[in-house]
Amino acid sequence: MKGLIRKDLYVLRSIGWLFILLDLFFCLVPDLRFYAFAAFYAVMLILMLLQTDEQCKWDTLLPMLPVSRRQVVLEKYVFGWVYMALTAVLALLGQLIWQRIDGFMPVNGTYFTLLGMDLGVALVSQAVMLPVLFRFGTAKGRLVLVMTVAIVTAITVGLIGGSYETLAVALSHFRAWHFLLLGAALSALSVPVSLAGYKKRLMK
Amino acid sequence: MNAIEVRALTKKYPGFELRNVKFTLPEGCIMGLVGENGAGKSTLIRLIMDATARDAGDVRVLGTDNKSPEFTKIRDDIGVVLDDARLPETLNALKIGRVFGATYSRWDNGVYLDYLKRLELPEKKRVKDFSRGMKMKLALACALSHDAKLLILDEPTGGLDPVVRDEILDILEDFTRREDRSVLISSHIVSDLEKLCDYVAFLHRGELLLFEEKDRLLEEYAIVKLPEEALSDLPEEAVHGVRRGKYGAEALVERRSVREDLPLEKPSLEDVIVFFARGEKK
Repeated sequence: MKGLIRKDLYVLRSIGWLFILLDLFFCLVPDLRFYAFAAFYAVMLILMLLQTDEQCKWDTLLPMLPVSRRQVVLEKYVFGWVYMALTAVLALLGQLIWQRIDGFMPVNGTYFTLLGMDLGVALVSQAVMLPVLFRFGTAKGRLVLVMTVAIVTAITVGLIGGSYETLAVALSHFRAWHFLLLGAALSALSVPVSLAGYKKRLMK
Repeated sequence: MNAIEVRALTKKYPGFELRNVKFTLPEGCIMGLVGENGAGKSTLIRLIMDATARDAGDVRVLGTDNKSPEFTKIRDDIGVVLDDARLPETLNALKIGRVFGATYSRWDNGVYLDYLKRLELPEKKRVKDFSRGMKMKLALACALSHDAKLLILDEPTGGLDPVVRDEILDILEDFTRREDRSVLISSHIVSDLEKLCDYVAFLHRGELLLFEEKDRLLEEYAIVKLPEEALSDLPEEAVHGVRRGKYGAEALVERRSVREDLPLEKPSLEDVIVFFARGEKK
């Protein structure tokens, strides 16, 4: 798996630097509505990596290398999870700095609930997306991505579109771990589904 | 130990079927897989590497069933070069070396860098800016830098100029100097395979029409030129193909089954393949 991660890091560095700069901006803006984009970008990133693999047909060489099917699938999940975790840490650090500067949106329970929600939504999106991408490839996977974005946007607008106070009341019933648990549970289900889909696609 | 054993291998696609393919490539030998475009060469290679499902049959590679979980580890002993190279195009040769270095357990970066120099490949240029020949040479450098016991090459010389082709063939000859190393190379350029191979397999429309030691094949068969009406004098079982022209006919015959006084000519491998492919009898 080390080789696969290394390859994806190199690809990201060579074609995804603009993407990372944008993500950095989303992380550091003192507003978690922007961070939602940053977390969700992990999913876009994986789509982009899979797309570059397909373009150069690396995905057809991969099954002939000494890496198991499971490693091929898991690597993309790990990549997404690590990326999401890094953006969360970065957003938190940025928020702490902003809090010191102007006290905007303190880092408290509500903040962590929002952060957890953003991460949870990103985890759920990845868990939904990857089985489709592994089973059908990126062309059809992109359609699912568009649909997911629409749903996520609708939810976000529904929840965050109101005032901050309304949102805080709505979210007071939840804790960060509720969202994370949902994301983790779906991810746990998603990995074997992706693996089965990937094997089926290879074995056509 | 045999490098590759294929038994009764069958794979069906809509409009195409690879039928009942069987052959054995002994360790230390080079096998050329010949066939026209669409004959099933790439499908066969994917089946050997378990990169696609088979409908029937068995494949053992380096003594291991390719459906067993251990086969993932066996891939560490196999160098693969596919047509188009299929390497990550946004990376340069050095980075590709690092990716493969973290993938193959016996990767030797020194050997890899030597190959880059020998093949005059730039280390820091992106693969997408390489010519097709350079991409194929890079893929070959990758396949040769992890002490593979078996090389599987799908059309490595296709679309390349004769100089690069010759260079690649030289490298493959070097590779097989060690007795435990084997090569399966597919190509529709028969002259390349004639220089290199110990065994020749001819795949035609999904069927393995021929699998034979190259030298034996060239000794066993001969071409006889004769007037068309004299074709009927040849024993039917001795004739494997006929080519008719304005000035007479040519037939590929088994030497031992025809009269010794016939003017027999030694065929090239290409002749044998073409006669088998056409399959026209008397």
